[in-house]
Amino acid sequence: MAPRENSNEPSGTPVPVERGFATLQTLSVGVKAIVDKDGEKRKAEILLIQTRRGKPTFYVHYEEFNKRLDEWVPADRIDLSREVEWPAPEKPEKKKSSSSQKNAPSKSDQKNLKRSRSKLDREISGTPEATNLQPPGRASSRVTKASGKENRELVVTSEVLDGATPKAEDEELDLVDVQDAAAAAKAAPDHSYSREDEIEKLRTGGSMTQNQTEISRVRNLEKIQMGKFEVEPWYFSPYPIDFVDSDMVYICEFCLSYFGEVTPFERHRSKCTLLHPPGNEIYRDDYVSFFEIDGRRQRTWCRNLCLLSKLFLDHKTLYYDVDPFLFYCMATRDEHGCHLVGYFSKEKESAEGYNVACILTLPQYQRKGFGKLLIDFSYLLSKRENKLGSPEKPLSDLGLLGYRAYWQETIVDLLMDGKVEANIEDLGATTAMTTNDVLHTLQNLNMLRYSKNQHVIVLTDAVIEQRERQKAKEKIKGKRSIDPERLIWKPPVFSAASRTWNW
Amino acid sequence: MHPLSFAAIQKSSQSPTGTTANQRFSIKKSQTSHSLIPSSRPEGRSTHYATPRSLAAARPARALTPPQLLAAIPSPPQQTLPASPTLSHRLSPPPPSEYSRRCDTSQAGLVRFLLTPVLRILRRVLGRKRRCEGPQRLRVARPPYDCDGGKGTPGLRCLFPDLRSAQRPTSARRCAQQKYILHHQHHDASLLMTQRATGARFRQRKLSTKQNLPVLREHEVEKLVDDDASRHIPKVETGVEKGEEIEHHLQAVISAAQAAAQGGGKVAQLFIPTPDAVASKLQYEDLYPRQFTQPATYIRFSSTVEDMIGCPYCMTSEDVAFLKAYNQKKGKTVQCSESEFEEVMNFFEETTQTKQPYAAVDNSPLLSYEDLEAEFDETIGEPARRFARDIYNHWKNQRLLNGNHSLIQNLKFETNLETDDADPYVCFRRREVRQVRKTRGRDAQVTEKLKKLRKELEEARFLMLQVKRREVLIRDQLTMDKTIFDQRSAVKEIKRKLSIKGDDEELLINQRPAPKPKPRIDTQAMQPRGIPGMGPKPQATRPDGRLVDSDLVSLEEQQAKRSEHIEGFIEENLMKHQKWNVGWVDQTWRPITPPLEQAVPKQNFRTVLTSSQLPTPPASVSSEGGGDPMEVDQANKQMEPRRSARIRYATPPDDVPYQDQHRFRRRTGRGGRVMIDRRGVKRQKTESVDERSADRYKFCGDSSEDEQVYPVDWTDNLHIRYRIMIEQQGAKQQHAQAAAQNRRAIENHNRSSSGHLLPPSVPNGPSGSGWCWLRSQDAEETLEYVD
Repeated sequence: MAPRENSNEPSGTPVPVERGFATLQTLSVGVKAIVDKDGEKRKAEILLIQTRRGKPTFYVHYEEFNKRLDEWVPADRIDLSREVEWPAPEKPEKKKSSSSQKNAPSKSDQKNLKRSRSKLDREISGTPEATNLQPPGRASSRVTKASGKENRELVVTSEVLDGATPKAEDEELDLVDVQDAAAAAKAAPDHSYSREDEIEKLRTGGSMTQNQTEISRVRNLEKIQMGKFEVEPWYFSPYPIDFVDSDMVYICEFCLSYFGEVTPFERHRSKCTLLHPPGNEIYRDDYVSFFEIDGRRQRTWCRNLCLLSKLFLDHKTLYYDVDPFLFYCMATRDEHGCHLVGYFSKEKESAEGYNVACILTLPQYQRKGFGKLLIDFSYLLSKRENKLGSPEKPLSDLGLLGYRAYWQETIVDLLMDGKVEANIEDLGATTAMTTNDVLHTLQNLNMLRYSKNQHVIVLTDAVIEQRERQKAKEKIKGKRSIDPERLIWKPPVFSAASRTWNW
Repeated sequence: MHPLSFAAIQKSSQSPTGTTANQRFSIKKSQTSHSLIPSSRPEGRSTHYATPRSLAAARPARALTPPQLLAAIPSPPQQTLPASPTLSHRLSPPPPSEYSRRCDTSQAGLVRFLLTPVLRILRRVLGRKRRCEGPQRLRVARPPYDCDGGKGTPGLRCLFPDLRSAQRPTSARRCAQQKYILHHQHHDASLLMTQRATGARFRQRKLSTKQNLPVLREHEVEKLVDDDASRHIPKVETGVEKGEEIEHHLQAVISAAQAAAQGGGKVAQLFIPTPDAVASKLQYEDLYPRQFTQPATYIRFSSTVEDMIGCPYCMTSEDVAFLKAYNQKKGKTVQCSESEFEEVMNFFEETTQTKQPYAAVDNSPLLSYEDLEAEFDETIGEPARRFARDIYNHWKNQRLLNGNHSLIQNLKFETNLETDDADPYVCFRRREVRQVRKTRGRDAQVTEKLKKLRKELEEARFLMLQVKRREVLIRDQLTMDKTIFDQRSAVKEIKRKLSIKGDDEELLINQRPAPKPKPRIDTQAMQPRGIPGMGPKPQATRPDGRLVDSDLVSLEEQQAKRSEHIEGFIEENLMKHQKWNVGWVDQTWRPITPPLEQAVPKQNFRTVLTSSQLPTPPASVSSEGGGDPMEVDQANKQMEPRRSARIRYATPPDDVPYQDQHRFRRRTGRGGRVMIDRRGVKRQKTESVDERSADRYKFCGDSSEDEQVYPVDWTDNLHIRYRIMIEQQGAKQQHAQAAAQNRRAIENHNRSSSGHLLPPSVPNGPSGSGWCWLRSQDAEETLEYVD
């Protein structure tokens, strides 16, 4: 279920929204109220209501904010002096009304929900295949039927986007770490997949990501402790269901085992002898090491890793097992061991030519430039394989920014090399980037223009200036990069049997 | 159309007259493409715009579907005002010369309209010409609002199929060139405007990703008033889900970046807010001791998590409390350690998991301690077992508190229930293995494999069983031996005690004493019955079953006996054979096999050369091919030591006349026979051939003395046939003679040692033929001396 989608009132389709004033008692799940967020009033949807210490608390999702900013708010932060939007009448019964517990909704409820939703989705769906199924007449009836909540028809105003196409990014953005997940979803997901579609896709696609309809919308862990840090999870992750009651989940930094209490965790630490990701080191420089781990051979560790990363990746799916993936884990070293900093997973054989399935820098290490190293490394592997690669889609917001920053830097560097002519495919070939990604980057930076009856690539002043600033900064801070010489790696070859998912 | 260009045009607007109609026309045209003729005519100058050719020039660069088309065209009333100035501007009077020409063209257009089918060919010619008229064409560029609309006029194209060609990029480029010329000629602001507006109108080439594009700096590119140019480059998706693309923070960052790129100014550094990560209060150093030393080489590692974390069960705080209390109760000596405790707990957990996998679901009762104890295996060590019973109660309590759920928190895996799919906690499902198609062949194959596997397993099992049996037997035997030994030594003791003297030895040897050697079996007597050639089998055992080695038959004796026996056997058989052959003539060799020659005594050969030298054998092909040039020597090996001394290879002396020179030639004939030809050699008298040996063949065969001798090649087909014939005749004669022959002496001169008949020999003596003379044959050497 996708709370954030609700936020977009489709401008073209007049959905009758029932408005009115509410009291604390009448507030229910699905209601959209104005909530005070950091001194700013924002419309937010109530996803869950719980009574804590006799007072009701509300789990809300802010419109136009990423799900990771969803939070529990006390009643006094809800502005009842303003009108709220009521959910469409038939919805609440489908919604999980079990607001007394934080757990996932009961299974039967989910099932019903699923069925009804998938039916709906099929109607709504705008995918080519779905559109074919959809009788033309049904669309309008659907609009009226769909409440604001279920309505997934997003008005993605490409005008807005096109108009706002960034010319360049501030160099600060490079430091925004990458965190992205992607589904085999193709280009036009302004709708949601039905559950069946999605599962079918997962079944056949070998993807590691999933659509947002898939997973519970409420974060289930309060906090995790890992290494030297306490981290607040961003999204739901299917850790053992007992953990929802724990204030803190402890995660061993090396084997990534998880514990709901501190005592077992300490006991575990006294026994655990793992000191680095359990695979072969394929890269080592002064700063980081990379380990290659086969999901099939290290099932437990990779599962643990996926559970952990799911906390920070919205689109990641844990629906299927880790067998068909390789995990490239980046770690920093000290006397304690090799500390996992980030990783990316990669299909052993990607039909779509993706070189990254999921990529994550752990939140405690974000904004330190690790994301760029990860991306760089993923492209280095692609270069070794003599393949072009692209991250699996969809990208997350942070993922997009991270990749854009990397792409910009790579391409601008290449072009500033005193080149007189450049060819988009060659650019792609030297960087192991797909043609599409090169185009994307050039367009974004407004570098592709038409002049004197031909297309030209323009190194705009803004781009150059930005690169110069970045270089100056690197001089001061020191530049971290991946040294291809230090990669000792041959593209692994898998037999058909080991590549697939038999046990 | 782009607003910017539009505005630019507006600025230079002049007269609005006549444009509305034209505009209306063009709109109409795009909507209903066939109503051209009536509406295009009335207005004087504007007709010019309406000519199909001009429309062709204005053909849009981008294909638009009809709905888009409609959308692209502003509704007439609104359009009138802004559009008309534009048009009027374009209508602004051109230089006179051009003007007149233009009029021509416009008239021509009219005519064409009326006589379309007739003038089609003419139109083509004209059209081609006109396409070169750049400036005019520039002027007649279609109105801006029509920029995207012209395409949707199929009717037009039907009328003038070659309109398509009019809009080729080549013409556009030519126009552009003209445009620049114009630009230099008149530095007129309005013209400039026109030109830019039109420039943008021309179709851009599609972006090719394979083509080299020039890389320019910003100042090298003309400032484009509109960024319309990039519209033909397909927009690339961001890859972010649409729902998230519009998120506030992402948009904020993107637009900030954009602003930075365009304005170049400093923008507040934005980032997407994320929940925080803070330093933990736990003592990191305690939890993670410094024990990592980095190896010099890259780490290679394949142990799994399970290998590395020890006992999977980890004590909870309750466990700690229990253990503390428990240990206090116990004495100092029997303290239960934490790891022992965990071992037991883990064992309980795992056993329960395997025995009652659905304990939490189906409300099955907890396993009793006895049940668990029965399951004790190597996973639970001896020391830990001591505490198992006491820990059981604690475990049971914990388990009950937990609703008989596992104490180790587990992930939820699929249970193949229907609820699985919807449960977000169920993770890491198996993927379906692709079904292999089922065929009878595959079935049979599988069955065969299974059978084979089964068989092999059975065999292995049987082998192991046998091995085991053998080992058991050996063990039994050893114990028996030991008992025997003990008993004997006891006997010995007793004997000693009782001072019985005698053979102690036999008691100590683990076998019966060797019996006295029996009189030897006469092996000679057995021989005839043995298999011929094999001799008697060496006797491994005696009749009584014991080994013979105690008989001590010497090897030499045996060997001598054996060789003697073999020789006797051969002798005997030889005798027998000879006896069998008495009175019989063996003719089996005759027809085909070349005659087996009797070993002729050496004296039958005359010495090849005595004093004269043998010339170096010429390198004839045949001799080379035959192999070793020294083959003669090889063949004559037996006589070698003597002869080699006498035969020397040398060039004959020059002073001897050619005719008188002795010449020898060696050649290899069929069947490897070596022949030596000679010439000019005076035969010496062979004194060595004495009377007796000359007489030897006197009476052999059917040949008579006065028979004419012909040179013969024995292997020649003709001769073989002839011989066969002769033989057949001879056989008849021989039948007649047989009785007489039988009666004759048994001693057969013609027989070789092997008992075969010798071929009819050619008597010695010079032949009359002169040059070729088969002198003698040697059984071993097959030499033919041809004179």
